[in-house]
Amino acid sequence: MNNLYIFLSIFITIAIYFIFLKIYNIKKNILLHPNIATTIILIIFLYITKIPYESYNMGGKYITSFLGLCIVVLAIPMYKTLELLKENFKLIVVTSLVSIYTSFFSMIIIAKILSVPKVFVYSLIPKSITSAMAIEASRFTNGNESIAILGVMVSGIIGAIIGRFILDLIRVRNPIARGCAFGMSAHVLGTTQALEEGAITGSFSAISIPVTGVLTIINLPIFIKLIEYILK
Amino acid sequence: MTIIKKIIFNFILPLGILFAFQFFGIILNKYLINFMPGPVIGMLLLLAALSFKIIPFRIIENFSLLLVKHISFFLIPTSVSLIIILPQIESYFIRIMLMLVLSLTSVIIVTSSFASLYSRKTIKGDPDE
Repeated sequence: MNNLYIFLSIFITIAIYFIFLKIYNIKKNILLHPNIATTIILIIFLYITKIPYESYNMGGKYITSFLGLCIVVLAIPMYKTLELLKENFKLIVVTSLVSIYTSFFSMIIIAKILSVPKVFVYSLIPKSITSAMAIEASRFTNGNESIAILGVMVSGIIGAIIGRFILDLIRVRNPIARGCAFGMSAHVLGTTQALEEGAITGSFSAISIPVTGVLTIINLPIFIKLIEYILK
Repeated sequence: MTIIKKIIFNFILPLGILFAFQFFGIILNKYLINFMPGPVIGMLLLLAALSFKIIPFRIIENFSLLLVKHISFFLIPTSVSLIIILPQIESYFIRIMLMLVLSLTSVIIVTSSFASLYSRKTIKGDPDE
């Protein structure tokens, strides 16, 4: 029975993912992104069929076991945009640090005002970085992986949807600035929007993702101390 | 090239290299660099190895690009775990959403404004064009 669950959960995940990959390639709608759509379909499926998540995860855990490898492989997009990073090193790193600390302090202030418990803040620190790194970050902060993923997904979807509107509203036309804003706030999903605006915006958004990820992780010990101090 | 050679050079070798870097990262995390997760250290080591041409990019290029393209697939089971957490965070859901949206908006505004000002200072000419 266990082997059947393992096989079925892996097979269903692959099948739904590739169906939505095909659909997404035709219709570029954020909500049809294979990761988001597959997640929603699987959640609905498990909810309707009353299959416990633990049973699904018998096979799911084999997929998740490649998560570490997924982080290592992020060196590849970084390597491919290394020249762009070298040429604009200061701009990208300093802007990324500004973005990370803005994200952190804005969350702390809002959490304090809305009385949001600390566990959510720990989990949502990596909301603007790519999911694989966010999971590692939430493990590091003793946060909750699922909440971290929720934060990453919501940031990606909302950032991709309202990002352009906000940037137009505050009249930021500089493609470098727009690219940084997309990549540093809404990671991969933001980059899909940035690429639609042009090559420069897309490139800066793409290079912002690993840089923001690494800098967020390097700053985690500081963030943990600050949370302990501010949200006593 | 025989099929076996193709499988070795296109899949097993690059996979082995990536696993080796992940392993080095985990070891370094355990004994030396505790403030950074092992896979992230592995990523930085791989970036250094590629930059200094210790590992030729062409060896891992095709396999890695394929993995990067489908990276979100490997996150699906963790994303599906939301089914467990959502009922537990029901009472905080609106507050969490509000926190995420407001924080995200402030990040977009501050980041784009800062990058715009910074690039105007450092890059000659009109960056808005």
